[in-house]
Amino acid sequence: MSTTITIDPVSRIEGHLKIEVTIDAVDGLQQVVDAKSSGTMFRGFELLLQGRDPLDAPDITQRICGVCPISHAVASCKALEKAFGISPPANARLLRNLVLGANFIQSHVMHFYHLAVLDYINTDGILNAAPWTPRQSAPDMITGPIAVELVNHYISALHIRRKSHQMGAIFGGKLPSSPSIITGGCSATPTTENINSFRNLLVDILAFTKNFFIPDVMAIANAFPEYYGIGHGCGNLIAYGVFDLEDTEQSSKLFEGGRMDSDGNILTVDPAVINEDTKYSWYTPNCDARNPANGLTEVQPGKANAYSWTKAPRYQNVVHEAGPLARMKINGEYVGGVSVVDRLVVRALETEKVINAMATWLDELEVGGPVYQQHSIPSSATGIGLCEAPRGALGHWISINNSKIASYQVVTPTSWNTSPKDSLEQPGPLEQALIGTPVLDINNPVEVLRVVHSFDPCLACSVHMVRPDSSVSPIRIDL
Amino acid sequence: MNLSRREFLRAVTLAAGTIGLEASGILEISKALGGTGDPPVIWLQGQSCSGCSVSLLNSIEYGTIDTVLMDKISLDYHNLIMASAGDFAVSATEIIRPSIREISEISGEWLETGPELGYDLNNDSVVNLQDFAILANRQYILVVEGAIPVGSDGAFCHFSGQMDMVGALNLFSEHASHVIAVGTCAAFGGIPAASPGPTGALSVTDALEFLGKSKSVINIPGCPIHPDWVIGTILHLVTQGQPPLLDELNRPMQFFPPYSIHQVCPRVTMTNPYAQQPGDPGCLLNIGCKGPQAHADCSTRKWNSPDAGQPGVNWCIGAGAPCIGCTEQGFPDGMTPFHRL
Repeated sequence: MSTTITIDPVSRIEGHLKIEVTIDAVDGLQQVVDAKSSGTMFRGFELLLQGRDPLDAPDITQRICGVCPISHAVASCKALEKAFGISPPANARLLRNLVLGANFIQSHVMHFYHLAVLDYINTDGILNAAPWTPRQSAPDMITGPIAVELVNHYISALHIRRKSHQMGAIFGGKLPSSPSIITGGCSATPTTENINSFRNLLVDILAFTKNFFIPDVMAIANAFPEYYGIGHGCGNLIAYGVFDLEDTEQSSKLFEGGRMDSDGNILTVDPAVINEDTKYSWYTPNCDARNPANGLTEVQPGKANAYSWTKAPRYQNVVHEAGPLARMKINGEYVGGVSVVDRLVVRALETEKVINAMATWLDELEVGGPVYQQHSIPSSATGIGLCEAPRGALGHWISINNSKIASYQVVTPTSWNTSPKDSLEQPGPLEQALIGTPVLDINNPVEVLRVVHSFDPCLACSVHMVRPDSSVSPIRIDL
Repeated sequence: MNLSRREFLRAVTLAAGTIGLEASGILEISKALGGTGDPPVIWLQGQSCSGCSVSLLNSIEYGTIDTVLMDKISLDYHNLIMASAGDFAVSATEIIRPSIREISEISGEWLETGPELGYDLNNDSVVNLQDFAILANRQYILVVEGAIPVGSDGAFCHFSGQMDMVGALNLFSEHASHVIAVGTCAAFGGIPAASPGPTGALSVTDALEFLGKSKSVINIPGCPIHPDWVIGTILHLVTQGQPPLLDELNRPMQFFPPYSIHQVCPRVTMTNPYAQQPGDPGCLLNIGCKGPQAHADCSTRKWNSPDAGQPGVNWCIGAGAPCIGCTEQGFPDGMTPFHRL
């Protein structure tokens, strides 16, 4: 007989997520046989951006998500700069990369130590106060000296993620949300002094990453080898690419965009063939199966069979997973598989790669060089800004009319990853990853939490932002 | 019954609260029993981006966040960092918590509201926040981050089970000793309440009025908040038992002074009078700065401090970016356009 478990709300994620899993025995093994992932908060950014000055977009869209605001700022600036036909100077590109890199580090460190690791260690007798009690526990959790050590590193990591923010604020102004990332470039200027301050922090953070972060992740991976076989999901990966290395529109990137299918073939990304399904989302049937460029949002709370405020983005109707695993595999930086543990491991490996790249970007900064490209707001234009958040592919679509925002649309990585089923009845990546997950104790489904947390969901971001009756085609980008 | 030390302390604290002991008395009892005596804080997220929570983790003047959480407050509910998930009744049954009967026996009276809300005195345990809120009986601080959407019967923001955020605010504000609205969304509505107000998003003050409740709210705006503003205010409540001095918008004047950011801005005295474009030295008024309309101690406190007692490494205007007035009631509609070419 099957049992349905609801985890509502899921904690140690950003935002409002509800997970419902049906558990039954298959071949004698108790496991998840069905899963529903529900985003349960909606703000309607698209409506409140409409009619505003286009230059407001980077500041406002940073407020979509306090965990990854810089990714939104960069994507928004790229969309505007594409629409305006300008390219920021080299210093601005480098400063953006550095602030974005700082934000990647703080997000990845926080994810592993403060959001995920408590699923794997028994902290009884180590952390005896709220917010660490009460807690789930499971017989396979790590105990003893290794657990104590991981808790100590949990504390160290709180300081490291703070230092990452401190580092980013040197050029960003502050974090979370950095005001210096503006259309046309960056308002901050590099000096010998602030470059050195940044570099000193980067050295500390690199040491932590090499000496603790990567070894700790590997310790979890070695203690839970079965999780290399759990949480596989759809197997198709998508990335838009991030960290521009040149000052041109077709710049090469530290992580190139692309797709990988479940056979390991590398494919291109064309945003024009991305559609968002809404069959199981709280929007009217008019909204279904539209490209973000002409998307439609008419809310329908209480819609029959719907269970999420998140839409279901699909690439040519195929379910894709976004995230650091997609970036690292598509770029040949990681040869492992797709699983709970693989997702954890690549975050730490990616952190080291980003830090090393940041050191070279610091060297490339030109003290006294320009940081800003003058521009004027066109009366009518469209643009797409593609970027990556720490948790995966992020796209902003803008159309401008009468020099104001006519429509503004965002498709976030968590929309890809935690999407509900689509009109072809295909579950989203997280839902697929949950199906087949063994659950030892239905009263304490810690295995489910491990799968959910491996995706690092960020639900504030999953709120799609298409506006009603938009029908402007965006510029097509072939990556 | 098999209580952990902390849960036993909690039970005693709750009981003391029910029979009307002063907060200081509870702390003494708790400390005598070897507990921390940390005041409980319940932190709810409405329509938020979690930016205020993430900023909170950078806390520094009143201690790094680990020392704040371990030694100064008991953060009993916070979705971003708490260990447990979902409904404790489902996901944390191995945690043995006192039954409602046991709590009521300690307290000497069963709370009349319990059965009205459907709790079974004989069988239910203190398994979830609703129980906790009832039993804590005015002995916790409620922090709300994010706006409260009242449109479509609350459908735009869910809390847990059958409860939306409007219901959660109603429930948890009832017994809170103090309510703090953290961030501009909670304090004034902020971005979710910006024109055209697609979800009926309200500030905490307005949502309480919508619920017909008269409850004073301490507003700590900012998009996001500075962590010192929040921890400083909570610790003031804990040590003084009453709110700090507030301005007419219920903001602590210690952090939100009556003079504007522009009046004390170091850029105003620069030899280059006005910046003409981003990256220039000088006052940023001509490129859109809202410093004259904004009240906060950003110019001296600054952001992302390296250590206690040190100012932060930077601030918006310090990075050459115009102030966008994020601590004000009119943010964002009254502050846009943020930039002027």
